[in-house]
Amino acid sequence: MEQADKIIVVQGTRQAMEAIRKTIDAQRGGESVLTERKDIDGDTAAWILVANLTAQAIPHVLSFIKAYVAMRHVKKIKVGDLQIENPTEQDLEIFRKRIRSIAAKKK
Amino acid sequence: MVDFQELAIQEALRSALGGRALFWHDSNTNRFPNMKFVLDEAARQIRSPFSVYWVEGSPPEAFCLPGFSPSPVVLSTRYLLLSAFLRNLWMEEREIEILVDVTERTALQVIAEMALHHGDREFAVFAFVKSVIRNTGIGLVNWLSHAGLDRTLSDAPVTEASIAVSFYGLLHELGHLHSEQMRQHPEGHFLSDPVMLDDIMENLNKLPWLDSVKKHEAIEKAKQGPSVLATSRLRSESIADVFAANVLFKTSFEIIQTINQQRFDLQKFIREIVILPEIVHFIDTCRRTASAASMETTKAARDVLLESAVYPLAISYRASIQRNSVASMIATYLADVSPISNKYESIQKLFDKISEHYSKATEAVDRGLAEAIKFCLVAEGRENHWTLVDVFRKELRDFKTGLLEAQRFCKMADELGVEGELLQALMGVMHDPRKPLGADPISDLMYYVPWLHGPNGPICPFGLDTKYGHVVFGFHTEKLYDALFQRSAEMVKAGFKIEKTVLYHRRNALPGSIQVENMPDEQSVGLIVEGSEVFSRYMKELADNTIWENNS
Repeated sequence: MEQADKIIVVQGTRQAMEAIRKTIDAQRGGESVLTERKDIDGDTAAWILVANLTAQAIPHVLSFIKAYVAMRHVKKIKVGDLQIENPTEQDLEIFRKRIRSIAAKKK
Repeated sequence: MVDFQELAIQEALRSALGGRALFWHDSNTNRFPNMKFVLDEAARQIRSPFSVYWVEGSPPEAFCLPGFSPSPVVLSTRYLLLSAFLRNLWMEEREIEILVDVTERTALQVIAEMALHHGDREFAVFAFVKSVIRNTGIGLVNWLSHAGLDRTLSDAPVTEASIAVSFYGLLHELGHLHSEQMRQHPEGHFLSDPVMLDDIMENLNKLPWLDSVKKHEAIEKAKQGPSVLATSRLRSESIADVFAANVLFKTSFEIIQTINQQRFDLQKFIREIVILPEIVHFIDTCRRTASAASMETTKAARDVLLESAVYPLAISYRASIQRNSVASMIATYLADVSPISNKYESIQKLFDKISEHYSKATEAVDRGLAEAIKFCLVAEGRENHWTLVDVFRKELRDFKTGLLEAQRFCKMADELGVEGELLQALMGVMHDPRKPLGADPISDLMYYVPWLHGPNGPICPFGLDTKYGHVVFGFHTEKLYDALFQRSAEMVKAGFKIEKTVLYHRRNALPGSIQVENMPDEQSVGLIVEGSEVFSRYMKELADNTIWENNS
């Protein structure tokens, strides 16, 4: 069985996080937790999704996230040590390339 | 190997708090005296696992992450200190105008900290500087400097007040994990949707500042959410409020009367229950304002404003449910220890008396808060960001408290990993307040001005003695400057020269009086600037040779 080895953290709207979680959970070896951040006044300031994925699954998941980034439903994204606030589609593409190149170096 | 849940909690907290935030799991629950006692009672009532996390150095934070089990409940030191400080606004019977000023400054500082984390960073610096400068209001009191306040909270004698301030926020958050949150309330129950909606509509109609369109919009939001008035949210918050007050009452009574063998003072406890919702209201309004001031679209800002307009209704609704529940709880409790009749009514009267006693302070706090909101949301007539930083720079030369506050704010920005041009400018003026502030890349207008230099350096702007007096021109276009002053530059005495100097004009600076930014002694000079009607007229007269005294 493939071992999940990359933590991905995404913050954004509930609708986007639930959809992204479904995609993540469909990946082999992936696991995830979705939580709201509930403030003292009852506002849900954000929905936070934390997932553990295999390196191979990340480019696919990032492609899926791209659509929500375009709709500005993603506020923050962190993959491993790389983090972007208010990401754009271009940022995600850079992310994908960097992750691919890191994976290639490991091989 | 680290468990995924554990790792996920750490990652979620890091995401919620900012990359460099310092937080830790309070596994011993010993942050405050009696903390274990209070949390044990909370755990007994909610029957859902939780873990407490403390945050150091961040803006005021109080939240929970109910998606995890055990659910992390997060509270920042800043939140507690702020609560303690705000409570003192009601307690220390200050002059009303001082109270308004201190509240406004406090609100601006809290808004600044919240915008730093969750909103527009440039605006955060702007609000922070406004909160500390001395040129308006009564002047900075060393009010939010919190060195030692944390210790004061931990070391404070155990009283109704110290227990309430230390635990109310935490208990409210824990109230969100209570099983009551999942319960379906039967028809006719005061927390059922139809009863709540009727109450909301009745109270909305009493709000004089909302027109009928906004009232209709607010009712729709109450039905469907998301809104502070949404029944699901009001219910959830009310349950958390009641839970917090309930645990607070039981544990305060036990700690003071049974453990410490002192007399539990019911009046003092009720006083805390009257003031604490006001504090929650204050901090939350600051968060909403920080969010509205950082909004990119007017629609989003408008939504936030509508929410702010109906927020007092949500708070008073929650306070009324909490009050009735507390009165009923205390009356039941007292029935076991004293046979006095009409206890519920007596306790309600006590609530009225205490609310009335603090009504002037509440009004003053509301006024101060309203001033802060106005500054943040109404751009018309307020200072330019860079102008305000420049005012602060000049004050900093003999303003140690201001410097300390600015250092603390910048440290917080660093811990949140925040960067920005205005923040850089603020750090620059803190480092050397004598050094003039650089140009605002967005708003400043740049002018070329002729400057007379002597053997020992710059002397003064080079002007013309006209029938209108001594006139100095400022040019947008280098070409026009060169055309006019190249010849003049050749005509000055040996050892002197005229050099082209760049001045920055802050848009909100006084018209015609421009602070010279790139000179060491901060002279002011009246400029006739290119683009103005006066400039065109003078230029025409200069060309016609009619500008001079003897030609008039």
